[in-house]
Amino acid sequence: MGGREELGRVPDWTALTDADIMLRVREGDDAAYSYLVEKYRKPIVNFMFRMAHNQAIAEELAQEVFLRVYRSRESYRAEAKFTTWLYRIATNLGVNYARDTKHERTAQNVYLDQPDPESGTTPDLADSRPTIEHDLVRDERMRAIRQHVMALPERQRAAVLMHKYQGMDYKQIGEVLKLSESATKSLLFRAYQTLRSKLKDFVGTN
Amino acid sequence: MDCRKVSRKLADMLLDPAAAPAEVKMHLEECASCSEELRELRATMTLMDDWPALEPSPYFDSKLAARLRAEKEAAPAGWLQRLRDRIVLGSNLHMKPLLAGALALAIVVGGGTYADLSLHSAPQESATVRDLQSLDRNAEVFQQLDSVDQQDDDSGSAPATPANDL
Repeated sequence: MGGREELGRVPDWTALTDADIMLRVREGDDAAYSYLVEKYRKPIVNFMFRMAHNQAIAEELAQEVFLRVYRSRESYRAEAKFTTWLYRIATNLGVNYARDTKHERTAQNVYLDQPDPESGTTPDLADSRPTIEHDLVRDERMRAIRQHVMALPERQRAAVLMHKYQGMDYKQIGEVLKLSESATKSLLFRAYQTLRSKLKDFVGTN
Repeated sequence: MDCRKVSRKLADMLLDPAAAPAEVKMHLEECASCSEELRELRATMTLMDDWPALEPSPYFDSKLAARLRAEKEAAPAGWLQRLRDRIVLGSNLHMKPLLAGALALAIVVGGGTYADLSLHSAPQESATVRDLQSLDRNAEVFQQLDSVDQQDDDSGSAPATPANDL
């Protein structure tokens, strides 16, 4: 992607805030846009991966997030943090996708002898070596976490993913979801209480 | 502070310990049940580290670039889409005074229009009024007939039947 900088003069993006860089995108700076995509590609892909349940779809949704960033660049206002705006787009897309595909979710049970729907691998139950057993327990734990996080209501799920995996605090999450601080705390707390109940058999096994 | 009150404050202990009241912290030091609940919540959060992150595929950037090229070649978003984006994606904090003013204006205009229509709407006519209007119309007819008779008298024609014989 080309930029509008003078030939040979590349700005030091790390010296600018994301909001400043996004303002440059608004002015038509493609290099600024590329920088933001590079910086947030992995976090957004992972956020979408945990909202959806398929890597290919997660990447499509993540691309859509960045496209909407580009498409809506003129509506970006500097008083909003860039990450707030970015995750608001991502959450809207993720929640809409989750709601639209709710009926497609398979049964909630986890079966060790069936292939993982995402990786296609099947654990080998016949081998009883300790390392394999450890791997089996870890895989089962991971699937249970995934299953129960994805069973959360969409807004609780988005809030938990932003809090746990994107490193955002409840104030930032509240800004993304347009909720008060107390409402965000309640939302997160209810989600973690549900997960504590569902995952209590796995606590202490890791 | 009892367990029921502390339970409502556990969200602070979990998400923002610095904001938790001192009496909650004191209760947790003394109550095994509440402290166990908090411990389990924290352990659950730690357990969730087992859901690993993944690397985007090597085709992510090329696919995005292709979609972006198509986006740039497409027609720009219309004003409705831009307005929708601003409402959905914007923080909208700056719009609250505008929205309040717009709502107040809508109430004034709507209420004023309704009041104006109510005051100036034509009142229902009573039967008495209708009868009086009918008599007025009849009186006009009689006057017209009288003027015709007068014209006939002036021109020498046969005397007209008196109006009260009609």
